[in-house]
Amino acid sequence: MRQRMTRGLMLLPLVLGLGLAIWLWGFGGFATLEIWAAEGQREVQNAMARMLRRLRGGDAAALAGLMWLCFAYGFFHAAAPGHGKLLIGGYGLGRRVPMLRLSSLALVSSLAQAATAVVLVYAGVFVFNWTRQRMVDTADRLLEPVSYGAIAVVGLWLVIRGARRLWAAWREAQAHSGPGHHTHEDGSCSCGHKHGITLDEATHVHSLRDAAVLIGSVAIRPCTGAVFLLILTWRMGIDLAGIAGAFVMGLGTASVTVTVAVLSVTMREGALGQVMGGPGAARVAAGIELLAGLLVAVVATQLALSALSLL
Amino acid sequence: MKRFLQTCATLACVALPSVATAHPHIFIETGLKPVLDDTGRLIGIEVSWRYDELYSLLVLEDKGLDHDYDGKLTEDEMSRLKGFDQNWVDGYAGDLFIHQGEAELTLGPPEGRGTSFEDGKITSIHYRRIEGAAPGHPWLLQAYDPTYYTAYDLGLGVDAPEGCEVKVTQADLDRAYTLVEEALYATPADPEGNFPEVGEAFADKVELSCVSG
Repeated sequence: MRQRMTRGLMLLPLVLGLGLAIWLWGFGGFATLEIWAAEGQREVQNAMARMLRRLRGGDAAALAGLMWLCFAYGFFHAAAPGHGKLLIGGYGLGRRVPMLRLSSLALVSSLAQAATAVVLVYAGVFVFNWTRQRMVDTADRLLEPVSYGAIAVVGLWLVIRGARRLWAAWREAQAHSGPGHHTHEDGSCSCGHKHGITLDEATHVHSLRDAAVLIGSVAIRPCTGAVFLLILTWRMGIDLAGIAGAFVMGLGTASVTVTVAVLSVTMREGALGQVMGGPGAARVAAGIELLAGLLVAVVATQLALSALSLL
Repeated sequence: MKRFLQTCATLACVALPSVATAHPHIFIETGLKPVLDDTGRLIGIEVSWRYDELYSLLVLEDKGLDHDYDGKLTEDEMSRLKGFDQNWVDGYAGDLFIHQGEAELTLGPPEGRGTSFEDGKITSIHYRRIEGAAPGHPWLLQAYDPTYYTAYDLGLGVDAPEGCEVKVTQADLDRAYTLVEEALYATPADPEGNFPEVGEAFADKVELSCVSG
């Protein structure tokens, strides 16, 4: 009975996720969301300019207001478009990764994205003497396709690894056919054989490198809003407020990407929970990884091509 | 396995971004004032653009204006601001499109009609000549940036000449965003490599019909 209840609970995120998807696609939820986000961005953008003026005019209290607006800007920005969510979500589905770790990844990659904007603007200003147009163009036209390209590579990577593990699981099944060998008392999905990579091992061995790649591919393309803010504050002589603001924007973005991270992990674990304990768990996990990787790769490639064609 | 496929699809889709082009960074309130001649032909249009405050501030900072940040510009500063948005590069259509029936009318280059700065927003007005419009037929006016980097709305209204009727049809945003998604996920991508320009779908339609004098 208790097990059945647990199973039911595990299904909950799946049901919620499907419901969300039906609302988003079937009932124009996406448009509603996007209209709301665009309107929000516009309001915030106006308020931000007023706050910058006040700050420059010596009103120290405006700093807190500016930070709050930056957070809101990042949030609205991420709620509408933005590819960080795709990567984090795909990864959370594809790899078995603890929720806390994926959430941290989401957070760090948003902050790294802010850092890119800071580096771009200040390098542009001091090293290359670029105009505003040039900096915005660099962010939009050059770094965007590069970033999507990097995400496609991460997708492919998930595919290859999933395929390899699927192959390994299949070979093992061939080598020791018969029940008993693979079911463990504790119900874990570890195969227990050194020549096969376990989920845990895979998660640990590659996590650092994965993390770097994940963060990097999100961070390559800075957000235009942050670039606007940084250029403005540099011109106005309130550089530090701008740099802080860019990072707070990153936090606002992270509030969305972290939500996606939590959702994707919950859904993956919920789905896996259905077959956990069975001999097929490892194969199913590898299959999920492969499929999620494929999805990320295909969509990101498409995005990279669209971004390139805008050049 | 099917269920897992669905799970993946669901989640990856929730996480999907729209596209850069579905995502404006500059917001402009637009005002349109069509001008007719005695015979009822459309001969020109006055266009007002009021920029959002952040972009206005960017422009002022670019030009080094309003250093005291009091939100007021001196006369000298105003003259330096004049025409800042009227040096158009080749191929830029001025984000205004006018059709009469099937035919797209040709609009001339912008002629400055003044710039102002109030409440943190720059408003810039320009006039464009129109040639080749026929009298008596309705015109369709739309203000949009094809790439949707700038979002235009009709916040400053349509000021139609006497005896004209204006009908505004709001953009179907639901359809616009659907269009973006379809364009984004269409396979294979356009062989020419052109991402369809979605800006038009976000634009309100202004229909202007005037009783021929």
